[in-house]
Amino acid sequence: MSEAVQARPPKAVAAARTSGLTSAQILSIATAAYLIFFFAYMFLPLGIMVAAAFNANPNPSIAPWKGFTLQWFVRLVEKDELWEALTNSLIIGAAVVVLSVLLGLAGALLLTNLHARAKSFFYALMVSPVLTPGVILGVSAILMWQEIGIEGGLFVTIVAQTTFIAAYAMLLFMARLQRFDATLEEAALDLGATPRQVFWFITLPFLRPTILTAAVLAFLQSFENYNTTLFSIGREMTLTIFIGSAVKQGQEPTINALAVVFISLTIVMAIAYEIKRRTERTHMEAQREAAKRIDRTIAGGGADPATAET
Amino acid sequence: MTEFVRRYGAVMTGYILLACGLWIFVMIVIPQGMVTYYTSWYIDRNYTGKLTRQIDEMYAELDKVDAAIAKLEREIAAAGASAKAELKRKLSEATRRQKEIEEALPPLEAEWSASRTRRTYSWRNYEYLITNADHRAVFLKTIWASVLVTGLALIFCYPIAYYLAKVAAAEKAAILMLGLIIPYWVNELLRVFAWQMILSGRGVLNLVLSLFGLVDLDSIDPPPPNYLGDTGVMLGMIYAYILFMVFPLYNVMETLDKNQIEAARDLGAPWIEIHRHVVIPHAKPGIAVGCIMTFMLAAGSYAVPMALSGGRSQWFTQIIYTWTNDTLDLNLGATYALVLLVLCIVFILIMMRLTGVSLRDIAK
Repeated sequence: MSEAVQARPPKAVAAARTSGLTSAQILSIATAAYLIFFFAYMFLPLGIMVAAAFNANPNPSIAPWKGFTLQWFVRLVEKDELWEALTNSLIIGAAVVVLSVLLGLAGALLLTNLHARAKSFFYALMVSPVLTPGVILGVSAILMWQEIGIEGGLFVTIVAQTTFIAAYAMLLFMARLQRFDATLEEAALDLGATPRQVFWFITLPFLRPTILTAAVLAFLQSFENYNTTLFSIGREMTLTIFIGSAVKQGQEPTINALAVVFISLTIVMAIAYEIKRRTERTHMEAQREAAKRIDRTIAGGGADPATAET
Repeated sequence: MTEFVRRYGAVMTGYILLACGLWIFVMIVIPQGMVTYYTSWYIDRNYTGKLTRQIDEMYAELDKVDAAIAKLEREIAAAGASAKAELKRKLSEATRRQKEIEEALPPLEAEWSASRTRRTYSWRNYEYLITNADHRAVFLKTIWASVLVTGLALIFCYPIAYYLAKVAAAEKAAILMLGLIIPYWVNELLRVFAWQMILSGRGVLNLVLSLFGLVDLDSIDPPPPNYLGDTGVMLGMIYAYILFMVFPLYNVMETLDKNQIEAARDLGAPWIEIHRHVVIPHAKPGIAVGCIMTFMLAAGSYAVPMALSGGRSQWFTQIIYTWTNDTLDLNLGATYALVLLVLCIVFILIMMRLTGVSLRDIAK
């Protein structure tokens, strides 16, 4: 680094000395302004929406402020459609989780064992739903099932959502399988394990953390989905359809109350995720440290294996 | 194949093939094929309508003939011998007509009920979209609006992605990332609703403007001016989908070796050149993914126009919804959906060509 600075042509160094500091200052001020603007842009609308949930004003608004109230939360939980919608969303979510994990895992196992051209072809085919607008997935599912006499509803929605959520799960499994040492399977097979034993005792334990991640992701994707569901749900109600119709009609701050619940859950989840990430990182660092220590011990006490063991 | 069975055993191989087969055929190939098939035919409702009118007319005539026959029969009973012959001739004529109608009706009615589900194969669905000036305009607007939203999101996100990935200290970057993840996880509909609260007539924007005396909320009523419409929809789209641009950009920029930037800087490259020759070439896959996702979400967005068009601008997805859920012309719905899909595929191909990125890199 210091050598590189010295290697600079003298002119550039001089220029950096005279104007470098001020331009660096300008840059840092501009960066700070940009960051403040960006995060204000992200959070102000959400803040306004949250604040309006506690305003006694019957229109969803922060002004005029007519006093603090929790009545919109009460009104929200009293709505029967909300609970019906929530139940349906949970049913769909659970089914989508199971199907997506099963299909995603199968897809990943298939693709990692295919070669060259066949692999690219099936890869493109199976990933395509991720790049397709949700509206189109909903329309295509409803057309197909209607053709054999099944009307839109929970079933068609489960299938339509799984189409693209399974692809997300598959991508997660593929990323994990890339780090899998296939020789482990080979070794087990060579040592006489049955393919079933290999799968249950080697492949599956290796994939377990990803199964959990894929399940959580699949559930969130399903729970949040609006575009596909709107077209495949028929006359049924899900939570997003409930929110959608409330937004369309735009009355009552009950929707703001629901937003407060959603945002609170999101914050809790985000913080939990961050904590998990940090403990994992410190755990990994501790492991690395321990490994280094053992390396040092082995290297230092190479003559005496007993020290390495302790 | 035998290699596959040896490795996974018969049961697992069966499961893998069955699951992949179901997924590929039942969820991807057949539904998309069905959409394409639906675009190729329509149900001729005009023809059914014509038959309905024809049948109604025939029933009306039958009623008349029946009445005439009854009248003639009464007259024959009362008439003298001289008039009887003429009346009887008229009666036989009427009876003949009655029989004719009664014989013609059943096949016509059968044709009527068959025509209600008969599939006529033609280009009518595509012609409808091409010849309908309103829908054509909405489609073109969807293209340029989505491109504009994508471009603005890219310009707006590039600095923050770069800052988070390469400039900010690890601890600060982690906190700021959390600040991005939270709005990213909040439901799209709620984020859009937040903007509705800002842009609508009694929204925050008008309140702020009225504080400066720029808008008089009391005098202009009803309705007070608001900022919904095409612009509102695009603002909402940028807000709703911007984070789908940030994360792909961030992910690729994070893998860029900081030393490359340092080296370029030490060799005297101005920052714009560093970005042009070092950062952007490296970030191409992320730019491609971010643009494709944002474009796809914007072009296929239903929630944003629903909440922010204020009934003053129409968007392509709304037309599709009208066809499939209100007017129940599934063939036009399928056609419009297919056209939207083709638009997205074309955009993906253009992005892949522009950035030289393969599908494999995109899906990462």
